[in-house]
Amino acid sequence: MFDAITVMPATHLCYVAIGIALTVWVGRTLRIHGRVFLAKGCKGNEELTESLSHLLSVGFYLLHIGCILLTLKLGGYAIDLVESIELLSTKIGMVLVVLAISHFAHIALYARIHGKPRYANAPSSFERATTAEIL
Amino acid sequence: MTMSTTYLLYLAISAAITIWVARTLHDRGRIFLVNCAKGNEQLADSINDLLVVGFYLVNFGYVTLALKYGTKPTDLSGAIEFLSTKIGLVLLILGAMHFFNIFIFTRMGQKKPPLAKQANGQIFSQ
Repeated sequence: MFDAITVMPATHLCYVAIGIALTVWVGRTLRIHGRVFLAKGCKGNEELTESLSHLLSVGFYLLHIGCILLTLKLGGYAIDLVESIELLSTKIGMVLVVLAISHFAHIALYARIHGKPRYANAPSSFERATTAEIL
Repeated sequence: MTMSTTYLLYLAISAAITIWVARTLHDRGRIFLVNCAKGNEQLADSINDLLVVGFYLVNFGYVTLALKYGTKPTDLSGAIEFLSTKIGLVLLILGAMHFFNIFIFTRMGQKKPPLAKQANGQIFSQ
């Protein structure tokens, strides 16, 4: 079953399946649990929060699933089960590391834009985005 | 056949240990986050889940990337040594991350006093 002809397509399919599953997991987590930060920054404007959340989700999925599909053919090829496990492990490891960097970058960005204000009575990110300062 | 079994054992044991540490941090670290979020439990739970996902990503990433390195074993004793070395490294890294997380959690509770904005727009600390 794990001969030279069938092992590589199986590896490819496993890589895509596991990669997309991981991206969906991280994307859902950021969308569901990042909503608190977005809502805080949008000062209770539910419609704006929902729209922003959805837009960011779509961008996240496009970027990450695109990268996974583009790197599918990289990494060499495997001829038996052992090499297949090594190849799959390395590629999924890279996906995990990239998702980790992206995840923490998102959290840091959320904390900066929508989190604690720098000083008391500071305008929220919604106010900063929607008011023009006239000098 | 030995090699793939060794690999799968390594992945299974590393995954089990990572999940154990992550759940411990999730359950026991919650109180620190509630303290940082000034009682806002929803915010604390969100931060908790986001951090747990980040923890899983980093640790599973290391475990899977490090799989293929090291001298390949050819017999049972070699396989046990291989497993022992790799799982030992995973444990050390998990331990370091664990203590780093505890350090960060206990530090986050101590806040600087908030800055205040003067009338001319300058910011000064109280």
